[in-house]
Amino acid sequence: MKLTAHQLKFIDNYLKYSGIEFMDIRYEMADHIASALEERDGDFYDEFKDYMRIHKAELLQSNRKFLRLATEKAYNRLFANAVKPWAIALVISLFLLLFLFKQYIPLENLSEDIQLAATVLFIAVIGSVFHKRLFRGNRFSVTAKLTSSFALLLYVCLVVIRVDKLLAGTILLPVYYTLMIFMMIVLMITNYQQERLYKLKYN
Amino acid sequence: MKNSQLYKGSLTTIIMKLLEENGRMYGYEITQKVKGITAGALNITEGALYPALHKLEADGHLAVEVEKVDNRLRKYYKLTETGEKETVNRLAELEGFIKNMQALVGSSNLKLGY
Repeated sequence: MKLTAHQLKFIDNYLKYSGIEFMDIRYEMADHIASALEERDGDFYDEFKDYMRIHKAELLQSNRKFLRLATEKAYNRLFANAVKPWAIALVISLFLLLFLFKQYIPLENLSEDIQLAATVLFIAVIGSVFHKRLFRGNRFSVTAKLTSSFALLLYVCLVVIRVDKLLAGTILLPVYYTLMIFMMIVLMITNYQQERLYKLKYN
Repeated sequence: MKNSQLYKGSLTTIIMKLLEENGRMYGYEITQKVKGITAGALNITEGALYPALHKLEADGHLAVEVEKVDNRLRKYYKLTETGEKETVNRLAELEGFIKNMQALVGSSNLKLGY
């Protein structure tokens, strides 16, 4: 049997509500299921139910392994960007800039402003994730892993631990701010590059 | 896939060999091809096939092309340049393994018993 657009949508929705949330794995699984069903005759819903009864566990297992690989891929891309010549030049420039800045205005005085900016950024990142989830936008694995890493880094360092307070008055404070700003920039650039790759591939 | 470590260890080599012969293939096509060649004796499951394909892709041995076919997206896999070299190495390794196993199993000094 040849599947209709409605039946294909049904398969996609079924997988989405079964926890296969990322588009880059879901469409491949949907194609696999559709190809298998097209070789069968009979009622679509009966055949689909029968297929999922046998194969659902395998598909979910495949999804779990895919997510682990996506996390690995996200960190590998992040690391590859972080050691590029432009990134090394950026980290050195940032440190020198902050070190010079510290001579005129103590970084400790900006602590609350940085805290506020980080909180706003954190809310914006979390908001964008929830927006996509609520409105069922297509989410892709590697960018999702990068966004969650970005949010976690912000939340732990700037909101939970308050590293700035621990390092106040020491030479390590500009080093800390340098690394935080650097990590955020590299995360954003990697995320942007990955988004473009996904758009090229799937749009 | 048959629940045997022998088959599991050879899965990526099987995939790479098929891609070497067929140019580019999609997931379901690979499972059907293997089923056809082995007359149904070897059945690759989704839980074994896709993680193997994704790992080969992440390692740079496979490249991916996405196309719209019959109202849905389909992901085709093909060997990269490094993938082609790796296929030659893995096939040579597998041939050596099979040769050694045949020599061992066929040897009159080796008695296999359970």
